[in-house]
Amino acid sequence: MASLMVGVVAYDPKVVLIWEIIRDYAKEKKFDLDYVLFSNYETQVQALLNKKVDLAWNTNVAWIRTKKSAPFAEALLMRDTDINFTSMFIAHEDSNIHTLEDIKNKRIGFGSFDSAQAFILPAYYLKKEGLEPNRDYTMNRVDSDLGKHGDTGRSEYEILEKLKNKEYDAIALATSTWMRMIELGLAGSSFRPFYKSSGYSHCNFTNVTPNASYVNEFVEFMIGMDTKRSDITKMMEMEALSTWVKTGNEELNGYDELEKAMEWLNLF
Amino acid sequence: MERHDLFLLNDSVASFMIRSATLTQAWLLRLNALLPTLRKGDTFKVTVVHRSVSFEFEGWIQVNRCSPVATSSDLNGYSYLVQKDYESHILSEEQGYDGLNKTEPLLDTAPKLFGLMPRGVHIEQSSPLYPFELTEKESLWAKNVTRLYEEAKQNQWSADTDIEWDAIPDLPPDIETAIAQVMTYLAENEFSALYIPGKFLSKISPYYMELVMFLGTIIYDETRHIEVFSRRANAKKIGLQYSTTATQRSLYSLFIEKDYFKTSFLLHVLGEGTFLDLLDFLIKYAPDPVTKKIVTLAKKDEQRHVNYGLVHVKALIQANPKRMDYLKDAVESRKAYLDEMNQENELLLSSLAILAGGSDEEGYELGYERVQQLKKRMGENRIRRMIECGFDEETAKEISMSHTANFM
Ligand SMILES: [Fe+2]
Ligand SMILES: [Fe+2]
Repeated sequence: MASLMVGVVAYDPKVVLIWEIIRDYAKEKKFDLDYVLFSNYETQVQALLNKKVDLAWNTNVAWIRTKKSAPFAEALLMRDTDINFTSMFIAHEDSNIHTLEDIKNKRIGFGSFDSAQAFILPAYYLKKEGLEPNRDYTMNRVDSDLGKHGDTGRSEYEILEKLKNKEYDAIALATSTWMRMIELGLAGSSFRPFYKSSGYSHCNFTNVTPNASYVNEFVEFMIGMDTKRSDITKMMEMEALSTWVKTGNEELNGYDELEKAMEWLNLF
Repeated sequence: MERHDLFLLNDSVASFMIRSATLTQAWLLRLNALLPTLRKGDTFKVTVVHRSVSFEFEGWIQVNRCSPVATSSDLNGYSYLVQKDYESHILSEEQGYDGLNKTEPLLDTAPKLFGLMPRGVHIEQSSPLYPFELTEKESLWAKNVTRLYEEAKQNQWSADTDIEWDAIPDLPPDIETAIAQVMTYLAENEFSALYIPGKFLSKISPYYMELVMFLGTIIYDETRHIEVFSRRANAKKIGLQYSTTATQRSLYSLFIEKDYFKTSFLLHVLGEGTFLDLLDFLIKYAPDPVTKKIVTLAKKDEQRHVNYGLVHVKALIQANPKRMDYLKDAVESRKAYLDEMNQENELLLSSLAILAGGSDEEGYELGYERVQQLKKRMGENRIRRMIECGFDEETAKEISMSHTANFM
């Protein structure tokens, strides 16, 4: 049998390092695995649907799109950090925003339109509170690195800049990005977080072939990784996880709101 | 359990009150720096005054693989009892070197992730894997190594202040030339004794820190020997004399040996052991008190180096007597290389004869006889040292016969 092919999007050079470690480790464990790099998630989803790759490491948006076209698609495995992912709203202190209601008539900045964390879900959370874009507030967006589904975080850094310059009154971004911004000294003292979402699910390994024999092998291989080895800990640090987790019902439910949000925004 | 009770019950290891209006870089550093000091399952308590910071702190909890065990809010703000959900470090159960006791590594093999660090530190799980080749206690350790390190510290001497360079008398040219030749030879051998431990040092896991530190003292000892022998040769007009292929081939055959155990035996037991007798000879026959003092001080250092080798080799042979054959092979394959050419350093032997007897015919004959006796004594002492290491007499005799005629 040919190697098990996993599709991954090259959103950063470190993706190659991560997958070289996984591939070397697989070779050592006599598990025949290889990877294919894609420049964007749309192409990767197409390749998965056309069975050009066996599995794909998908963002939540890519997962919802895959499932739309292939109802039997299954989410197999995620990082522990993909569970209970959250987004935040951050206001400028001069904009007088303390709660979601305060955003009425304010200028809100979002990230790229294909970023679940910086646009799709935050906008949907506002809608759920009855706040419609361009009726109750002005919706602004910075679309950068489209196709990467927000993986690069670039649009989040760009809207932060605009918040600083008071072009926006508040912005939406991933909590993990905000933590990174504080660390980098980008989160000055004039910013005020006023909302943190409940958790949702982020990436997963997606399979579209029913009853494929490799599915269990792959999941067992990934979960069985020897986390005491320094190459594996290095890979896990780069990929920002401490353990691989099988996608269960609870984790699957973590995609429900995104599906509704994408429907609302006509993102299929 | 009621949330309130959890807060009361908690035996959390730290407690912070964040009053700032944002989660500042400073607070982030403080929180991040707390994590490595906690074990998986440990809890700590944080109260934040501002609502905006509560969002950020909850984000911090989530991003840092922690979980809120309990939360509450009241007039003081928002309180969290937070648990760390992962283990970041491999905890050491050892204290490591303290300068007081005869410390010793407990493990038979250095921990895999042990890097450039003192024994006793807690190692972060994501620490890089260093390619240290020498990680087995058995192949490295000698029980006396910590004591030898302490001895080395106490017995340091200075090539400047301990030697009265100005007091070297003007000697007859024959004698001064002989001294310069002997010093030349000694300095060559000291380079060997410097480079070989240096070569292995970077391959030894720092887990065996006392050994690493002891090798560090050897390296400085040999540096000092190189200095004093070179300086003594150059102290008078005559200066450094001739290197010989015989000596260089001998040192070369030792230099290329890749096995630490074999090298330890060849260098510390056989080589430096034989040197003890040579230095004794020079203590006796050196023509002036300054040179006598130089070789006397050098000999004290060499004795420590030999003592490490003796205990190291003895332990390895005790654990497995077959290792005697292994060492014998090492000596014999070195001999096979050296036998390709005449291997005695005749310049050295002749100079020793002049020092021990004189340069006139009668004196030289006497000196020659004394050098012959020295060689005999060297052989006997080599055998004695090997027997001390656990060799049977016959093997020891065979090995001694095959030992390099260059002495080191
Ligand atoms: Fe020396
Ligand atoms: Fe030495």
